[in-house]
Amino acid sequence: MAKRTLRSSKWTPASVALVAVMLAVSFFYLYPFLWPVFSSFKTSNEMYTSGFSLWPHHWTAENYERAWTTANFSRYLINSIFYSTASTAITVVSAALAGYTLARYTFPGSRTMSLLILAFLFMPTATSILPIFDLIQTIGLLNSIWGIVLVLTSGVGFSTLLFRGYFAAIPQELFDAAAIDGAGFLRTFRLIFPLAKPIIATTAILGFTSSWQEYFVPLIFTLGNPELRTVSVGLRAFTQQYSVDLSGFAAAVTLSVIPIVLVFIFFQRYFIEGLAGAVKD
Amino acid sequence: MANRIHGRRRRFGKTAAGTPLRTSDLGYIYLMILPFALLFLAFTVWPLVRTVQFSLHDFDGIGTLGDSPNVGLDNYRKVLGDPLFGKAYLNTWLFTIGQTLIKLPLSFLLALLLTRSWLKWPTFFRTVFFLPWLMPASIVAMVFYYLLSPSDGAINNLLSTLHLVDEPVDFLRSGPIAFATIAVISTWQIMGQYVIFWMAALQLVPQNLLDAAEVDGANSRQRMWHVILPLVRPMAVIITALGLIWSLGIFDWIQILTSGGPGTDTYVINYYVYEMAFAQARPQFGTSSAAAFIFGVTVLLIYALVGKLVGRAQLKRKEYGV
Repeated sequence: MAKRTLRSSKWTPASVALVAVMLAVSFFYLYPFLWPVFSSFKTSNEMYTSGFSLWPHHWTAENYERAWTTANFSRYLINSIFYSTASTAITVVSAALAGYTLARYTFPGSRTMSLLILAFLFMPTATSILPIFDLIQTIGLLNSIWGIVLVLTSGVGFSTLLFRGYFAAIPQELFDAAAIDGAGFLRTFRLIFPLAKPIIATTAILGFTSSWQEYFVPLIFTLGNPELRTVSVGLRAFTQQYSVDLSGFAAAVTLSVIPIVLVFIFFQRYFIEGLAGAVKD
Repeated sequence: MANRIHGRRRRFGKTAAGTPLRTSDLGYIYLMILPFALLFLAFTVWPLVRTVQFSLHDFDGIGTLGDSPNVGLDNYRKVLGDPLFGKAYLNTWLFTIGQTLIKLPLSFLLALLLTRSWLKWPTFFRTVFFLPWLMPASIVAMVFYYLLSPSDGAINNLLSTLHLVDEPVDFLRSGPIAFATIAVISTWQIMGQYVIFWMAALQLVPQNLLDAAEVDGANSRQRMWHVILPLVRPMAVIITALGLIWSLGIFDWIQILTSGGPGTDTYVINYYVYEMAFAQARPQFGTSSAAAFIFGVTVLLIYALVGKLVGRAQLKRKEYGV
């Protein structure tokens, strides 16, 4: 599918016009994204005089130095990367295992489990955030990195549904073949699991981006310890404290986008395929 | 005898093919589901139970719940009597409906455009429309805070250079205008994710079906209404549900761009819950939980109702053979 849609036809006057229009739209569409990237190379003074123009007159890297040290940004970046990676790993592993069993086996409790996941899929964050805060406090993980990691796994229900859908769509013949070869439960699982690569990539991207994007949870869970802040919570504190350092802010924003762009580039070829596979049945 | 064996098989469970499970397999199954079950019960199911408990106490979130006085339904009375809660509740739904009506059709059309075979440089244009999604919403909100600034923001600068406005526009000056602004820029930020969802949905439409319809003389509008849309519908329901949940949970945009203001005109539920619990001299977890519970329950009820209506409409369509 991907290959077919990527095939281009011949250039015609109409297609040239369309591309021109789309390029213009793209510029304005991407402007708010490009603004911090280009602004991060401007001097502080230029920030206030450049108006709509993106291109810096005098390129400078000073802003990055300032963002990295004064804003304590290196710390926040490490925190964010750790929270997102750890919570994504926990989410994907537990969702994959649960999704596989729920898709292929009926056992006492399996129906209840599936129904619960569906029912709670639509529960707004507001409803659960205070008891989660209290729970983390009670088990002594408030103001610790693991508390935040655990809370960030809240998307595990949705990921499990995606895995369940994907595994349910795998043809029965493959399981029959494994059974004829005398494969038991674990061997069958080991044979089938590699087929799940696209959905692993999909849930990993969704999990990583949603953890990386999360603001409400890290805001609340770092109220007592600024050292644990994520990039977005730290940046917010930075803008409130040094509201005049626009170019330093721009540099910090640019740095914060790099890790996630890398993750996206790494996983994207599986991404759409996996999502489509999960809802096929 | 046969009956007893059958009964035992049912109790042990079975595979998707219907063959019975061995006891050891059942052990593996429960072992595999355990990590998920622990996370899910601890951070999704249990919190709902606790929300109800909290809402019945005068609880400050610092001591233990047992030490705080049981106040019955007082917190519910307090919340329902608070005009600010009503405002936040209404604002949340209005924003959700407005934003969903913008983002879902727009992202669907964009996904259609980006999957057309005649589109030049598809990879480039796809990347363009995905990129904003990779910047966290809270950070985008901070960027827009500067871009929208009436004094020296780039957007006002462009508008006045092009002589589209005489004096700078304050995009956050009142409740409705601030919500409209936030609906547009939050749609911009999240667009890439929905485009990806729709592209996945469009993958489920087999090309040979479209080719066959074309051979049968269906024009592009007929192919859209009679081939693409019906096949995309199951996924569309999921995408819509996700879209609604996302908008109902709006917090970062409000906290960063307006802090609920001007006045209290852009209060939303999450902001109300947050302010009640964390920005008071004495944290009011009880009242905050009552607000959260009322909101959660009404959301679930509305979902159930809409689900039922959709289901009934589909039955009707089947009856009429449409």
